[in-house]
Amino acid sequence: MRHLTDTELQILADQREKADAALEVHLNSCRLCQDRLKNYRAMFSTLSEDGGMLLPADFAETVMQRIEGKTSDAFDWQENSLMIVSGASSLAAAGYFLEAKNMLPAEWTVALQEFWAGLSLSMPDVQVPTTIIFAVIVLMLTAFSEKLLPKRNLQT
Amino acid sequence: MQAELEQIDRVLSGDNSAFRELIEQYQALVCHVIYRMVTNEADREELCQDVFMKVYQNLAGFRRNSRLSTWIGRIAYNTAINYLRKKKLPLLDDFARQQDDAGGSLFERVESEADGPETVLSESEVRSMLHEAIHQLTPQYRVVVTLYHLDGLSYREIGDIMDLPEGTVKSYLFRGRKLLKETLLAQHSHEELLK
Repeated sequence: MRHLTDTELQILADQREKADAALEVHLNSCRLCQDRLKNYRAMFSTLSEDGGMLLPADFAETVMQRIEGKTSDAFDWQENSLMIVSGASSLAAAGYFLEAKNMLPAEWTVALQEFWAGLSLSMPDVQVPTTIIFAVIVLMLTAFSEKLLPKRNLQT
Repeated sequence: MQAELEQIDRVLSGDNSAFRELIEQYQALVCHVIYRMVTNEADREELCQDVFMKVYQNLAGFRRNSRLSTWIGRIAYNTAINYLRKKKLPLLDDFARQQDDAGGSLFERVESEADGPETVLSESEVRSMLHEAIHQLTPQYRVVVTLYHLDGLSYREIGDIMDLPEGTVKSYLFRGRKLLKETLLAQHSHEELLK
């Protein structure tokens, strides 16, 4: 009597495979093949369990943080531009309110006065209060921030 | 399939919550491939992260003529293969060659049919010994067996991931399972002797 081969036993043990009816006939009358089939069934049942192959619960979060880091790197030039504009605006505002012109060398003060006079000549009818200049600077900074932040932060 | 395409479009339009969903959906598959291929525990999680970084960076180039799971699985498999090659760890081809050099291939030993009585193992015995036995298989056998039984993938899907013909996948699966069973029985006999 020819016993079932391992391939045939695996087909019988695998519910996704279609077994030949002749294999079942032999199986019903052969104790050895029944025992060998039991081993395969036990093994297949265990193989369908994960066996502890699990990633940490915060795995997705960790990957998203890595992506966020990469995205930030990609926009570094924009971030740097924002910092330069912010810095220059802050210095200008601080200089204005601290009357820094009194602390500057005479040549610089003259140059600044000429620049301001030129600006006034180009807009003779416009009187620009200092508070409005300051407000414009703040608005510019806010606009820059709103433009950049969605790209740097993840939409969750 | 339509939902899958919509999810890809959401990710590509900059919706990162869609990519987070994608990670949660496919992290088990990636974990199974990487954990079965790579035995070094310290490197496994980082490799899984690398896979999703590659998915994020290359999603725009996904051709959409295969399933997303297969494409992600292939990235995971190739990442693991590259890691093993970099570490100079043996793959299936290397292992088979070693066996041939030693005078008798692994497959020849597998093909010999037992005709004597066989010990019947209980499920609890199998469970305790199987994990160790799996690690005695070559990485490719481990992946084929895992993707088929644990992830429920078809021969074709496994073949797409591993870039192998369906027939080869089937051959690996049957040989791998037979090797596992023989390893389990050998271990069981060894433990019986120690009692």
